[in-house]
Amino acid sequence: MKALRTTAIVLSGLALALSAGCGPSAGGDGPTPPRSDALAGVDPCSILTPQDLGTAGLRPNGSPQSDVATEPGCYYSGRAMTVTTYKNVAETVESSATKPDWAKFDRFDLNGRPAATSVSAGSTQAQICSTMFDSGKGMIRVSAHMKRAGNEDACQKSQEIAKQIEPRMPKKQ
Amino acid sequence: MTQPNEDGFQRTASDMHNIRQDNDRIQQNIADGQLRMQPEAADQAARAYEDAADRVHLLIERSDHLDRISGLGDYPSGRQLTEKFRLKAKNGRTGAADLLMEYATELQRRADLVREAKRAYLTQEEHLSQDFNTMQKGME
Repeated sequence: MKALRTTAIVLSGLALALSAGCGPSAGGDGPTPPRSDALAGVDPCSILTPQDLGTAGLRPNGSPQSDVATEPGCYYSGRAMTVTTYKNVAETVESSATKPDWAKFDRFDLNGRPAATSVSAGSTQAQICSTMFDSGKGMIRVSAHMKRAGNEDACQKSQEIAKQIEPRMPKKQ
Repeated sequence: MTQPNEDGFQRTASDMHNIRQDNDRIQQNIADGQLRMQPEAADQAARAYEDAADRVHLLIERSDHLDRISGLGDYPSGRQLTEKFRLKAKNGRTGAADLLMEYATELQRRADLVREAKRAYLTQEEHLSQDFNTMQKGME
């Protein structure tokens, strides 16, 4: 738990340090204000609507997750599965693909946006899978975890939910 | 070189083996008619095991999240830190999320077994009641 808190603190510090070094550049007509990230206004706990939650069999009142400062999330639990919606303001599908040890990283096009379904190398037996797609200057990620092995595919579930929410999310910038 | 979490992972894997064996034993006892549980106690116990399993499911999500950290910058300290977090999430053979999934599965199995013990109790009650009625009719 301490390590997770340390991660958040370190990432917050890095984000501050990076933003401090990336101020607006001076042009001939004065400084151009940086284009704000449309993802900034997205609350991870409002990505799924009550209707989405009902369809997926999830209980309302998601629990905010802040282990990683650049990827806040919202965790929902249901009888058969858990779903966590994240917004990542530091990475895109393209930059995520460069991580060396994915067990699965299948790219696809989601309504014109780069998207991918992925399984971490350390979670191949845990029935957990994420679908991510570009949004704003970062990406949205939907993680689905099946509570019991065998019955349904976590990747299929995460993809279904990602497709459902995609039209409502900010366009890629 | 020994990885920092190797001992912890091995110990957990060994604990998992013991939990699985306990569940096997409980299952055998129910099958042999040696274990029945009073319904109210069984329901409470099953709920407690399911609540515990739910907490483990949240840990699975958080562990997977940790495993997905792709980098804390290209500075040597950032790379070292990333590797340190990765080692906390997996040990090269089995990831923490995978071990936690085994644990959640055994907790759910225990909840299912407790409910099975409740059904065994109710079935026995029913048989006793039928036997009693038959005996009473015989005495009339």
